[in-house]
Amino acid sequence: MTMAKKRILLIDDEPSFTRMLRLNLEKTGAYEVREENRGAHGLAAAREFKPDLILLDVIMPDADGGDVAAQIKADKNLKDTPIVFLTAVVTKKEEGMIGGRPFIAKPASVKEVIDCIEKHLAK
Amino acid sequence: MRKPKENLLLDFSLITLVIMIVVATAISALVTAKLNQHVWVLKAYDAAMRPEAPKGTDPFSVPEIRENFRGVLWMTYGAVGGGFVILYISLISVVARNSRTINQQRAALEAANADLRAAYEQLRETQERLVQERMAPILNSAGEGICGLDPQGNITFANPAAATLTGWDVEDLIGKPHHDVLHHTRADGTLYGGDECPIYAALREGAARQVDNEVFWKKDGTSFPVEYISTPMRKEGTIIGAVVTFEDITQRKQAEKALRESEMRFRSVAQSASDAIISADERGLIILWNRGAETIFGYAEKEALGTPLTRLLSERYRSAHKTAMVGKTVELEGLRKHGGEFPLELSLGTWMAEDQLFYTAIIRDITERKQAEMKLKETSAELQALQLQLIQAEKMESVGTLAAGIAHEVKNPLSIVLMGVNYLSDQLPPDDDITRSVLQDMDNAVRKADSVIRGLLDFSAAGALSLNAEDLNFVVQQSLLLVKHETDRSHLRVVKELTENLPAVKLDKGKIEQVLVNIFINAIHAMPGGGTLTVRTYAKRLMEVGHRVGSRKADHFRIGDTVLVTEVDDTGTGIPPDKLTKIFDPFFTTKPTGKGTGLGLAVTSKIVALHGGTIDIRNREEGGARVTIMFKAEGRG
Repeated sequence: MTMAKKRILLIDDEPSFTRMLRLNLEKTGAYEVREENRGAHGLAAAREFKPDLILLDVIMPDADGGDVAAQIKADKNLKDTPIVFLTAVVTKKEEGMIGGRPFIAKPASVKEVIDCIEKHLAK
Repeated sequence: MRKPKENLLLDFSLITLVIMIVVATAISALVTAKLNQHVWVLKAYDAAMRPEAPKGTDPFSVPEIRENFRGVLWMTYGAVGGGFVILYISLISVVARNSRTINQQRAALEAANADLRAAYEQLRETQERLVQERMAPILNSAGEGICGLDPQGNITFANPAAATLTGWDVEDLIGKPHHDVLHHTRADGTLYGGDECPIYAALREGAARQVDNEVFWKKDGTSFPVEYISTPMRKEGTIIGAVVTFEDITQRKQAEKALRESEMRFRSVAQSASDAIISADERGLIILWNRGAETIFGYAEKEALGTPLTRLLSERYRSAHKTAMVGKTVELEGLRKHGGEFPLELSLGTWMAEDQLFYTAIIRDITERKQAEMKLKETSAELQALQLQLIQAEKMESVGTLAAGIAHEVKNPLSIVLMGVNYLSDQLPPDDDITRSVLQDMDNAVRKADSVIRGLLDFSAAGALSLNAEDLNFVVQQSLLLVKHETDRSHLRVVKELTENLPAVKLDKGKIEQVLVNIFINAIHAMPGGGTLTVRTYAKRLMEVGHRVGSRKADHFRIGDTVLVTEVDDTGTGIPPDKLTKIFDPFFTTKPTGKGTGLGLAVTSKIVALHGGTIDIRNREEGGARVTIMFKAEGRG
C-alpha cells in the first residue's frame, strides 16, 4: 500500500519560484503541490485544494500574507491546517505579519524546505 | 663846616686852660729844680759853715732856706690858681653861650617841624584827593558791589554796582548800617544777628572774611545769593572801617546746582549700573569706583580709590599697555579681591580735564555669558552631533529601506536560482562531476549573495536594543561557546583572563554576542596556522582625557567613569597600518575575495556605538591585533 501524497499549497506571487519549488517537491514523490500566485485567491484555493500544509508568502502585490493566513485560520475547515511562511524576513513589518509563526527564510534550499514541511506535518 | 662862636669860645677857654696848666707845671718844675739847686747849695754851705752839724740834717731847718722856699711856693700857687680862675670864667662863659644857642636852635627846629607837618598833611590830603579822583571811576565801573563801612558798620561809601545789585540808591545806602539793610536775614529766613555777621567780624577782629553761602537782601525784599569779602581798613594800626566787595552769584549757584544735579545723575547712573564703572588718572590710579565695581571685584570704594587699576587684572594681562586698549572692547581675565579670576569685558575710554588725561573703564563680568557661551557651544556641539546622528540615522534608515527593498527583490530570485540549482543537481548523472561542481559554485554564489544582503540588512537595521543588566563575563563565555567549533578546527589556544565580580553592564545580550562572535571569527581567520586567542575583561576608572574620553556630552565617556573593558588579542599577522583607519568602513575587508562581506566590523562598530560604548582595533607590539571594547559600567562611576 502506497502512502497518500501530502497536499501542499504554495501561495506566492512569484510564479517562477512556485514552479521551481513545486518541481522539487513533486520530484520527491511525496507531495502533491498546487501553486497559487494571487494572494487574494489564497483562501479560495485552500478551500478548494484542502491542503495538508500551506507555504505562504508574506508580501504579495494583492494581499498581505498575514491577512491571508488569518482568513484561512478563520475558516472552520482549514483552521487546523498548518501554515509555514516563506519570507525574506527583511523588515520589521514582515516580522509583524509572521507574528511568531513558523517560517522559511528565503533563499532556502529544497532540503531546508522539505525538513520544515515534514516537521510541521508531523505535528 | 663853620663852628659856632660858642664853640670857638669854648675851644679858646680850653686852650687857655691847657696853657695855664703847662705854664704852672713848667714854673713848678723850674721852681723845684731851682729849689733843689738851692737845697744842694744850702747843704754844701751849711756843711761848710757848720762842720759840726751831723750829715743828713734837713736844710729846711735853716730859716733862710725855708723862707726862701715858701716864697717860691706861693708864687707857684698863685700862678696855678690864676689859671683856674681864668678857666672857670671861660667855662661859665661857654656854658652860658651854649645854653642860649641851644634854646634858639630848639625853637627853630620846632618851627621847622610844624612847617613840615603842615606840608605833610597838605601832601596827604592832596594824595587822598588824587587817589579818590583816580579810584572813583574804577569803583564806579566795577561790576562787583563795593561798600565802605565805618568802624560801627555804617555804610560810608557804595559804588553804583552795589546800588544796582541791592536795588537801593547810593544816597540811600550811605549812613545806614550795612548788616541791617542788606544782611539781616539768612537764606532760610531766620534772623541774622549783627554779632554773628562775618562782615562786622572784620571790623571787630581785624581779619578779612570771605563768604559765598549767604544772601543779601534787596530793597524790594527779595534776596540773592552772594559771595562777599570783608576786608578791614587800618590807619596807623587802628581799624577805621572795612571794605565789602560782593557779587551776585545767582548764575554761579544755578550752574553749581545744575552741575551737582548732573553729577548726582551721573553718580546715580554710575552707582545703579551693574557694570563696573571705574576711572583712573594718568598714572593709572583709581579715582572713581561705583557699586558695580564693588560687586564685581569685592573691594569697597575706600579700598579701591588711589590703588592701581592694573591690580584688578589677572597677572598675565597687567603688562598690556592701556593705550593699546583705548577705544576698544576687549575680553580679559579679571582678579577679584579674594583672588578668583573671572572673564571680563573691558571698554576703555579717555577724557581730559584741566590738561590731565583720565581713563574710564566700563567692565562687565561675563562669567555667566561665558558659561552660557560654553554651554551653547556644548549644546551646539551636541546638537551638531545629534544632527549628524539624525542625518546618519536618516541615511541609515534610507539605506535600510533601500536595502530591505533590494533584499526582498533579490532574495526571491536567489530562491529561484537556489531551487533551480537543487533541482538540476538531482537530475545529474552520477559521473557528471563538472556540471555538479558548476552547480555547487552557483549554490555558493547564492549563499554568498544572501550573506551580503543579510549583512547589509544588519548594518542598516534600526538600532532598537533590548537592554538588560548583564554579566559581561557570561556574555563573553557564551560567545566563545558559539565559536568553539571554529577554534577547535583551527587548533587555536583560547586564553580567558576574565576578572571576577565585574559590575553589571546594560547590554543587548544577543547583539553583543553577535559583536563578540564577529571579532572572534576575525581573530580566528587571522590565525590560519594556529595561535592564541586571548580574551580579557576588567574594569577601570577613567582618570584622563583620551580616546573618546572628555567633558563634552558628545564624548562617550567622562573622567571618573567606570568602564568595563573587553580585550580580544590574536597572534596573527596584524592589520596593515594603512588599513587601520578604514577597518570599520562598510564593505571594507582585509580578507581574500569571497572570504568576507566587509560588513562584519561595520555592524560590530554600529552595535557597540548604539550601546554608548567604544571599539578600537590596533596592532600589538608583540604581533597580532588587539580589539578593545569599552562599555560604561551600570550604576558606578
